[in-house]
Amino acid sequence: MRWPLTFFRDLSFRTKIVAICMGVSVFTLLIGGLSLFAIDLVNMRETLRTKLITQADIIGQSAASSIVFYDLDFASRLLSTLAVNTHILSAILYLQDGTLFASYTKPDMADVKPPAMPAADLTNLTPLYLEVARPCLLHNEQVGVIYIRSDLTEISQRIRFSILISSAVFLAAIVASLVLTWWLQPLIMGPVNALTTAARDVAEKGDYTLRVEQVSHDDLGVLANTFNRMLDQIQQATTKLSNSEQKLIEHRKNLERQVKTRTADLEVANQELQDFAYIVSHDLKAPLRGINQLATWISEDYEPLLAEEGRRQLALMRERVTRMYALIDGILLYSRIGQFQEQRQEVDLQVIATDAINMLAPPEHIRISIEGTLPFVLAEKVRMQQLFQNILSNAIKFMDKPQGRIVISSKCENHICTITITDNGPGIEEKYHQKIFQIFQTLNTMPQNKDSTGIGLSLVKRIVELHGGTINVHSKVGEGTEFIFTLEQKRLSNAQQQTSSPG
Amino acid sequence: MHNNKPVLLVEDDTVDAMTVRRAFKDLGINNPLHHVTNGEIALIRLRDLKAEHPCLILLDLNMSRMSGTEFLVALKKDPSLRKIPVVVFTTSDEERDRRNSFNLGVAGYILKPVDYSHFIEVIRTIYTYWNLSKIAPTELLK
Repeated sequence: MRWPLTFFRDLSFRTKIVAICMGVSVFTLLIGGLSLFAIDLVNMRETLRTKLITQADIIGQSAASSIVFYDLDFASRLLSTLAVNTHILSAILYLQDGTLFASYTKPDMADVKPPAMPAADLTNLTPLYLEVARPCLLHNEQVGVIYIRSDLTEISQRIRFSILISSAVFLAAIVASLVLTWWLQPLIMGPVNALTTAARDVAEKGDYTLRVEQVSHDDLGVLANTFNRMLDQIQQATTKLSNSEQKLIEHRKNLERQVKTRTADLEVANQELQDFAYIVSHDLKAPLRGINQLATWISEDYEPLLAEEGRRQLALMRERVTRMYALIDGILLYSRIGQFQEQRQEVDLQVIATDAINMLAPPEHIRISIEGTLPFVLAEKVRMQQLFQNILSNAIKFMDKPQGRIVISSKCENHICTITITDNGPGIEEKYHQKIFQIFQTLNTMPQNKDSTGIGLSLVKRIVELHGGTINVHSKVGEGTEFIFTLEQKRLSNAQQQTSSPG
Repeated sequence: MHNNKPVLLVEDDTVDAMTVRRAFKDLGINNPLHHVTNGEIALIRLRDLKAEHPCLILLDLNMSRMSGTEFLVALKKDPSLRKIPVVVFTTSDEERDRRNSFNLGVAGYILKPVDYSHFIEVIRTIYTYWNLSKIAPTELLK
């Protein structure tokens, strides 16, 4: 059941129309033909029977007197007249008592065994013959029975003829309807084809300006109209889309231009900043140094001439100059970070920390220790040196305990290493915890911090943040300070992962 | 220093020049100190055939007219002058200045200390080193 359906479903629309028309025509013709044929068959049988009964009645009438007078010769002649009708197979005259009086058999037929006398009103149709029996009446009195048997070739000939004619008509009708369908199908297929072609062109070429001609006001006309309206909308939408696309491209070009301009501006600004840093480092420092030297010589060479107050003022002057010198150096250092970036590499913090400790050479009463082994991180080496030196030198500088302890420890998780540097120094009041990382803040806010330029911790914060990490401080006044910062761990290669064991 | 040959100081800052001169005096260095204020004058002086070649040049980098770097380029191009050792004596801690100077074959790169006591230490170190160090054969310096 499935196959014919699928088959039909996949036929072209034109073939479907033709097939449906043809199917309906054939069905109608068959029904009509068969009905006509059935009616014809019934009619023919009836006609044949009537004809045979009439014939039997005529023979019976004529033969009645011959039976009464026992004129066998006449009766035989009468029956032989039936030979005119070639369809009559046999005819028999029975006497009233049932004896056979006279008979006729078609010449080329073998002798048929005569049946026993039938009832006077017999009508019997068998597939091979039709037999009737009628009374022989004389003055309305039955004197015998006439029996006639006829073959059915008349019917079968008629059937054959009928079938022939029907088939011819059928064929003619089929051809006619085929031609008609073929001739008429453009009425439907024309608009459908126009729609199909238009839809395909739109799909393949993306040409939304195409329109379908609306030729009728039927369903297909409505479809064409709707299709056209749909195309209108698509065209509008496409136009809008391409307009906004155009705008977007324009916008992007603008942005690129802006980025270029800004980048150029930034490069200029960056260059200017570098030049500025350079100028500051030389042109501001040189006079300061000069002032310092001159103040030194004045205090040395003219010592006897200077009063105590004069010497004190010169000393103050030199102190201010020295601090300003340090400040300029600090600004330079701070501004250079990020401006000149080294290649990030695998840096062994264990080595960096050890070197920093050795370089700082802490006094006897301060012990700096490293807990465990510090990790490898991905960083700029010089910056890491600055980072450790700054934090450690701060811790050493401010250490106020007779037994100073500074401990460096680390913990790595998910490729992020947290480094902790703890000291048991004076600690930092909580209100300064954020300020210490701001440039110059230490100088202004922390009275004990006379030697510091206030650059150190802001430098440390800048270094950590440039490496994508964070820095925090935990501290309790009198107990000590803990600096915690994060750095990206160097990713171990497979070989290293296999050989290194935890802890 | 060797044979009491002169030391050439190329320095445009008067006080810095005074500081070097004072340090020489305080340290009892007997080599004559010739001071010029820029690279151009230094080259003229070095190319003066009558003048004796210095055993050492102390060179500031930041100078008007001809900077220390430009002076170094010219000096190292001159076959008769390029064997004279040059110690850069500057305020610049810039990476590019250090790199440039060493690329141009300087013998040392020293930052000017802000404090005179440090300054005097630096000069003492330079003096001690160049007193100990053998200089290039005389004929090469000619």
